[in-house]
Amino acid sequence: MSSSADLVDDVLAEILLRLPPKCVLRCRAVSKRWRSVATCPAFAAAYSRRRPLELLAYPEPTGRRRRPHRRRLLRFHNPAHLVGSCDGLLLFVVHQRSFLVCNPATRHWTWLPPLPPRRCTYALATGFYLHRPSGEHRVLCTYSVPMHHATPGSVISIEEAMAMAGNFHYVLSTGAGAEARQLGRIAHHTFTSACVTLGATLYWLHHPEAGGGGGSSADIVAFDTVSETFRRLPRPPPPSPGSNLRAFDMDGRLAVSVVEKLSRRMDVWVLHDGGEGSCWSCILRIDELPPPRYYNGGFYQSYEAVGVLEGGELVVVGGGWVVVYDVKGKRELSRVDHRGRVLNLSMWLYRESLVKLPEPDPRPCPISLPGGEPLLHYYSSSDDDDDADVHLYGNRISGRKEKNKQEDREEGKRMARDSSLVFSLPDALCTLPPSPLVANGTAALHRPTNARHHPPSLLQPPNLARPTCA
Amino acid sequence: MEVDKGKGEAEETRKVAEADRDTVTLKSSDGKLFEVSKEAAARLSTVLAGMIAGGSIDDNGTDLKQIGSEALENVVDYCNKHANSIPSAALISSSISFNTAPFKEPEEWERKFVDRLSHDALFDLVEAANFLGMERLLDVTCHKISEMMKGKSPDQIREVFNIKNDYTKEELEEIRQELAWAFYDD
Repeated sequence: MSSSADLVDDVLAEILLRLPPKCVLRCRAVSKRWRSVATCPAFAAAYSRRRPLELLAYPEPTGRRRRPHRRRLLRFHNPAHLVGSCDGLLLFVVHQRSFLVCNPATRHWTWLPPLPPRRCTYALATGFYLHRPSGEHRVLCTYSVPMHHATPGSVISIEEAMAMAGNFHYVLSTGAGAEARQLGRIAHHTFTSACVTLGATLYWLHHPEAGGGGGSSADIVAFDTVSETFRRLPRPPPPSPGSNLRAFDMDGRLAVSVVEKLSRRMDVWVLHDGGEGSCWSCILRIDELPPPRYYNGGFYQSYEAVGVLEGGELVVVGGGWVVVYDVKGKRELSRVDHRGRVLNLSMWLYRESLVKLPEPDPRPCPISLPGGEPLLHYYSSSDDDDDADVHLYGNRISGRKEKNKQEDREEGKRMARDSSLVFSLPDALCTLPPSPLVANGTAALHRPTNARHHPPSLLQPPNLARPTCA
Repeated sequence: MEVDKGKGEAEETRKVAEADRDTVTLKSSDGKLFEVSKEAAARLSTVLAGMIAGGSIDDNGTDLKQIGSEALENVVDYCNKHANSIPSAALISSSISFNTAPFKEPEEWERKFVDRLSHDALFDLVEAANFLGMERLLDVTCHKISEMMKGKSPDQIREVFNIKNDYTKEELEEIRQELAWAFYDD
């Protein structure tokens, strides 16, 4: 008669791989052997490879409570903004200039090294990646020091002030004892678009290093995370003005989705080979995306591809929808109504992991909720939730017709029937209602009140957001 | 002369018969014999496939000393009844370090297959599946065991799995402090 005490390590690992992170952590307390199996690096690596790729939507778009396959990963409060996701780690910027990394699965967190103290500055994370040679997770960021605030409280010459002011690339690392490291000064500061990480290279459609003021014809910029150098790549063939472009990772290759102004047709271009002999080819055309919605202040942002989930499911966001499209079968698999008060929905791909931070901070996480709530609130909604109401939103749009509501309800029922389909979607993150920013000394004095962490996308034609119907 | 010829012929007939046979005989640690379809065995188990291809299958019962008769019966049952509905083991990489896809949920019949087993039979079967390199059977049995573990405290897990707590009180307290949140139910 066997007892499970003699399960071989391989089998035990196979079993633990199938458990949610919380259970795996608990199992460390079962016995020393279990702990050694559950903490070995090979197990951690296999564990994250076995997690599905999920989509994080932030902030939560509407007040509806439940959605299919949705779970709340983490609660955080207002001065913090989610600005990156890599290997199961989430990157937040707090008070516009401090970076915090946390792993919601293990609830470990740490501050990244501080940027040099300057008054009235802000930092923008442009990339969050694994630096393979060191195994550290790093942030590439743009650090801006306005001229008139370069000196905290002392009188200096113009020359000195000019030397201090400007925009700089910095690299911050989770590595133990690391300090913020300046990579260089940025000549022409422009908007930086969402970053795509492929292997050891980061890519941006819009980046200051593209030069030439970063217009719509500027080059794509690539950053080698090992040599820490920038280079430029050609864009896909120029689309008509006002098109909405977004770069994303398509099975390990750089892809760009292109949607012309006011169009529902999307072309997906893929870059073949990097370096000198690179060329673009259009590998997919989606002719009819769901018709765009409008809310009482204008249209939702135009369509853009966010990424590819398991099984070749392309996720397209825009027009008040999240659409999952089967790339191989060339058909729409499902769509979720994504209307709400939030216009610039930020989407991140996330894969749960047990990645350890070198020096997790033992203190309570400063962005967690006050009042004794768990540091990071985590729950999983049951997958078999077949409530027909699940996909619907409240009628927040003034002047909408009863008929529309009826249509929505029908659609909700249809979606609920289809909910066994493919959704490892969508939003896992939730914010609290905005709370006033916490002033911390001088930093609060000159903080630009309209500074945002997700600058409005230049890719998004401005007139799309203008209401066309009263 | 005559005798030798007859022996040679018999040998030849036996060889032909062996090659033609579409079943393999497996022998459990306690000496019981089980017949399993050769095609299914080769398709579902990387280890048996290797033995069949390498000619190390014994006609009088291939010894599987690591597997008890109850577990082997379940393995054979699984192979014979369900061979057609399972993809080949050879097509799936068997090592955890190379698998990248998320786990596939067991199908209804697979669920039923493992649900009827006692704890001990289940643990024996998971070891047998691991030993024979039967990817899908390992998948299904591990899934079942992981289901049994979900939501349980370390104490409850020790009880189910018959494991001795080898931590000192202080060590255990340290782990609980470090991972305090994981020990509360949502």
